[in-house]
Amino acid sequence: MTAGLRSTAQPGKRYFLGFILPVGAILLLIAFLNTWVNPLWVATTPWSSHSFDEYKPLHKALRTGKAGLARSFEWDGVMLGSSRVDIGFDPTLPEWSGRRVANLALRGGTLCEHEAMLRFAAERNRLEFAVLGVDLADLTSPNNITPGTGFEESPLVTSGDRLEREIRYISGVSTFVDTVKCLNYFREKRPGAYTPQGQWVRLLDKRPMRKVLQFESFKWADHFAAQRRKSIEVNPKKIEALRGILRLCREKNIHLYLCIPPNHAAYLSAMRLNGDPDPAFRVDRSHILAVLAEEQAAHPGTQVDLWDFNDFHPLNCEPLPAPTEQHTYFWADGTHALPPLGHIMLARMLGWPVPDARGADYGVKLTPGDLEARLRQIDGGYPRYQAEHADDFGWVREHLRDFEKR
Amino acid sequence: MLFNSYLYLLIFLPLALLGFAGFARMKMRLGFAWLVLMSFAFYGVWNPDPEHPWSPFYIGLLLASCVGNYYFGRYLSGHKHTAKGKRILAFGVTVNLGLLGYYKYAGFFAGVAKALTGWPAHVPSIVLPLAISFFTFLQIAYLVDAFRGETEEYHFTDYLLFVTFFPHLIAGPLVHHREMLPQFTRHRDKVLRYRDFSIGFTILVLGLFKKVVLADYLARTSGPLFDLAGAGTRPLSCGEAWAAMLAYTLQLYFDFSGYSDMAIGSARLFGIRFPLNFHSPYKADSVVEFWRRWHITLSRFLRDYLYIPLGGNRKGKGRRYVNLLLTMVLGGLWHGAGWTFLLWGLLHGLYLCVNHAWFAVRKKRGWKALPKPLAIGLTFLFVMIAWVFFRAPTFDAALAVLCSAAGAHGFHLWPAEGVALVKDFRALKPIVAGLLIIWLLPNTQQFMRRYRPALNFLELEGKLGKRRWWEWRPTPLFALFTLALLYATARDFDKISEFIYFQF
Repeated sequence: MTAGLRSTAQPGKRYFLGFILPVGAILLLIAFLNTWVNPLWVATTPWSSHSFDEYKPLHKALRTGKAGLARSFEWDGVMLGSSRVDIGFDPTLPEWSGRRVANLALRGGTLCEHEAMLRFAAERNRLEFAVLGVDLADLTSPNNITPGTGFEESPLVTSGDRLEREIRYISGVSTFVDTVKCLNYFREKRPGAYTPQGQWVRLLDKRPMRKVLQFESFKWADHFAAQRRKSIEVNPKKIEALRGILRLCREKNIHLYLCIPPNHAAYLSAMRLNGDPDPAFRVDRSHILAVLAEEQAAHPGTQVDLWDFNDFHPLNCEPLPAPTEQHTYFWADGTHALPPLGHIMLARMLGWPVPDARGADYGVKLTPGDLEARLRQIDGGYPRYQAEHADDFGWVREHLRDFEKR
Repeated sequence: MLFNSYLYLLIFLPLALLGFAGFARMKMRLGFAWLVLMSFAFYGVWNPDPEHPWSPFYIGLLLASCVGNYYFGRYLSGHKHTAKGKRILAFGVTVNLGLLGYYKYAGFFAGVAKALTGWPAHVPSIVLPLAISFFTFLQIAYLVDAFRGETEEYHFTDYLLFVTFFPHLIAGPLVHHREMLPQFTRHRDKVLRYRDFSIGFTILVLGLFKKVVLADYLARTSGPLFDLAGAGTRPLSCGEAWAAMLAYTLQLYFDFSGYSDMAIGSARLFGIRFPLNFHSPYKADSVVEFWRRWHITLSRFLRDYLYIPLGGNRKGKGRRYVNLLLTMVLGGLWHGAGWTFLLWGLLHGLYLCVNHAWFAVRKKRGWKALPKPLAIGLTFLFVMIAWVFFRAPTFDAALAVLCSAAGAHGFHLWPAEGVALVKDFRALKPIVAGLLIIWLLPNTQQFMRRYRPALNFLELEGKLGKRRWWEWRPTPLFALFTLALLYATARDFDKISEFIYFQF
């Protein structure tokens, strides 16, 4: 640029050479650092270093980071869902037998986002399979894409200025902030929240499970129940997203494993104590089954099983930990199962040997014909939980009342 | 393409500068041709419907408009002040206005006709080509001046550059051929200069700061509150209504003047000076003065090509007021095809009439002018009331905001937490900061005054006078200041938002 510049005034030249040119150089340096560190997997270049793989601050921009992960490597399979999948499903289990698996679940993600993520991953990889966890109440939630989650800034979004986004990933100020964070993690040898395969294993909620239940889960249970008491309407966009996922898997020959992830019995009890009008989630289950049946009727031979883990099975009724203890063996809090339970779920769905004998009958393969029996079974589990875990149930009731008072 | 985007700042602008430097060293007109090409690229990036593939139609429309007007202009300069020339001028202006009318107003008038008569059954949805209001107006001015004999035989490349030069193409300033084309011909001996580069860069950073930091911060208050008024979920509290009005009044100024600064700064990088577009309008002590300081290039256009041809103040007092009203109503409609814009224009027309009448009465009776702070405050208040109509999605929403501000729902300042859309302190902070900036600090042009940042600056400011300590100079201290602005801008830069004036 200097070639064409003529000096007609000395101060102007000094200002240009001493200030503007260095600013330009700093911008170039930022772009180099962003691409070298590649903090969110979206600025991959031949000179990107793999030394930072364990230290990437994916939790700062999860949708961007997971999409970056999807396009940075070749994957055989992906796991999709909300934070339940994000935490619970381990992509590095030996049972995967060398298949490259990514956990592309999105904290607070919805079916619409899962569809976008699967589409994004399938366009860039020859996927053999996908595991999808559909949260109960997602189908009836009016939120298609939750605002403020970073979806709009991620490569998953199809609208907007794609080129601008890609330049931002390389030279952006927000990327640079993540680069600095990543360099700090690296310097302190403190790995990031996410593994290079995308599982959320660190920086989980540091509060004890009871505290999380008391101050987070019960609040949400109250919020959801209040919303659902007004109306429980299925969101057509979510149904369309589920159909889209099934269609994509059929067209791309991707084996889909579909499941309803579990909640802890304490949380399920809170929903019932709050007077949820459909505590066994008949609406959600019946609509998922209807979409599956419709797909199968239109395309015989494309069997997709729905695994249902959301009930009062003993593993979901694991006694709450002592007030000072962090969490239980299977549960991080009322809505998030830990990898040992995720392992059992994956084993049940994928037909692996179940790693824990207590999980041999965990979850059921749900079909339209079994729905009524399944709902009765879930309803029956509630009084059993009250009776067999009277202390825990009493604690839930007591603290729920506290919360209502507040 | 947005000025506050990475694509513009890191790719487009450096590429345009490099290409210009390279080509202009071979031949200046080659450099101009490069800038024309880049300007079409700048315009062409826009896709009105991202759901569908990009279409070259709108570039074709812009090019056709330029070619058509250029040849109309050439013909007119050969037939100046003749009856035939007049007919051709009328035809040319009609074609331009017809094009603008079709794209900008057909849907609106069809909607009005449907509401009144039930016809047409289907109101067409017409995509408004980006910047059509701007490039139509500056070419109408060119045609009129060609007929008046005030143009020269411009080279086609120069003319294309005058119309399409990317810094002003989308949202002004509304440049005039008399101030632009001579610069292109004078440009021969200079390619890029350190001095222009330093000045242009600083003005660009100032504009970025105004837009990204100030305007967008204020938008977080005004946006949700005006949306709430539009939705009608609940009435705004008195405090919220005032916060919405103040925040939008400030946001619009920082947004549009920030855009103008970026345009002026970008052009200056190439050694081109643009006319001044804003000159501390909220320091005006009357509405008449406000319009000498706000969107100066549009006011100039409306004065020269609408108000004066209508008769201006030459045909008596009554006619003058009618002309003022008509000019401002049309100015309002120029901003958008909608009743709220029309009402905004009408309000300003009325303000101007009252203001002129007040001047006349004062002069006749020998009354003193109002104390300056009071006059500034009153002007600000009335301008702010008019902005409510400019911003509100509907007439009802505008009335709702004004009623709340007047205390129709009580004088409660701020709703309780949980009900409030914006926290009181978060709303108050940028408003206070904004008011202090507009009333106490010099504007961009005053800050850069030693380096003649804009063309008509001295007309407004008078002589340069003694150097003041805060006036910019290419020194390390001001480099630090610019760096601080750049840092503040960078922190908020990734929250991309469009400029308000892009919609016009």
